[in-house]
Amino acid sequence: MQALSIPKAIIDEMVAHAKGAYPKEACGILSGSGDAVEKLHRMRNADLSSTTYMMHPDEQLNVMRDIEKDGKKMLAIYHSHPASPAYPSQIDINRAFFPGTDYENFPGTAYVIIGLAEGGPEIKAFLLIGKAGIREITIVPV
Amino acid sequence: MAVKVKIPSPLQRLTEGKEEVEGKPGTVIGLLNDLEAKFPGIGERLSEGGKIRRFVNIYVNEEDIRFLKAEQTEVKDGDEVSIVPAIAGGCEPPREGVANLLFVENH
Ligand SMILES: [Zn+2]
Repeated sequence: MQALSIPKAIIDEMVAHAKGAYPKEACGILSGSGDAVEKLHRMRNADLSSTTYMMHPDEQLNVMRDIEKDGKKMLAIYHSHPASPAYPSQIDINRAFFPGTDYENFPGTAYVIIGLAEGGPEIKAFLLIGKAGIREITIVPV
Repeated sequence: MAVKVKIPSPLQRLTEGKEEVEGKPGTVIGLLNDLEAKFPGIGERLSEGGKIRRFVNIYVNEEDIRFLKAEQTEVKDGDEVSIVPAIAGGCEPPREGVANLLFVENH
């Protein structure tokens, strides 16, 4: 995946979700086909925290199953950084891999971060490949 | 009919690429120990000291075992056990020095 195309309405919805959850972190899933996002799934942040997120486990499984049933793919996982730039944190990197390994949890799934630090919102997408490998990919609003 | 166990992508290298394997009825922790016997290395990835690792979600028939009887949750023939990495992260900035190790490529 070199780029992620996201409908403008979905970008707006991610920003609205991030702002609505502020000062807590918001999180969700973007699904679609190929590199094209078609649907946003708002998720509950079970951590209810302004520095971490964890998707509510039951909700996570249900949404992943729904995406599969629709014949779509989980193209991206999004979350907000309420007070920092849109760049993967050490926690983001650590939790993108199966505990104790450098095996990606969701190979091919991008991480979209909505940074609400001053001057924001800024939205960026990344692939986290191998331990500590961060590759930014372009977001194409459509 | 055995217990169906769904293996997540990052662990499929330990199950000869299989997305689904057969599990032993009993308890979740018993099933994981049995998987370890069949696929060495998988047990320690999933649990430590008899407890499921943090950020590993295990579901029996789509119910998170944390809301059932955790490691002692019963599994029987025909049940489906799904192992799914938790989707989690945060926003603490990288520690001093770590940023230098990161491979950054912009497009
Ligand atoms: Zn983050």
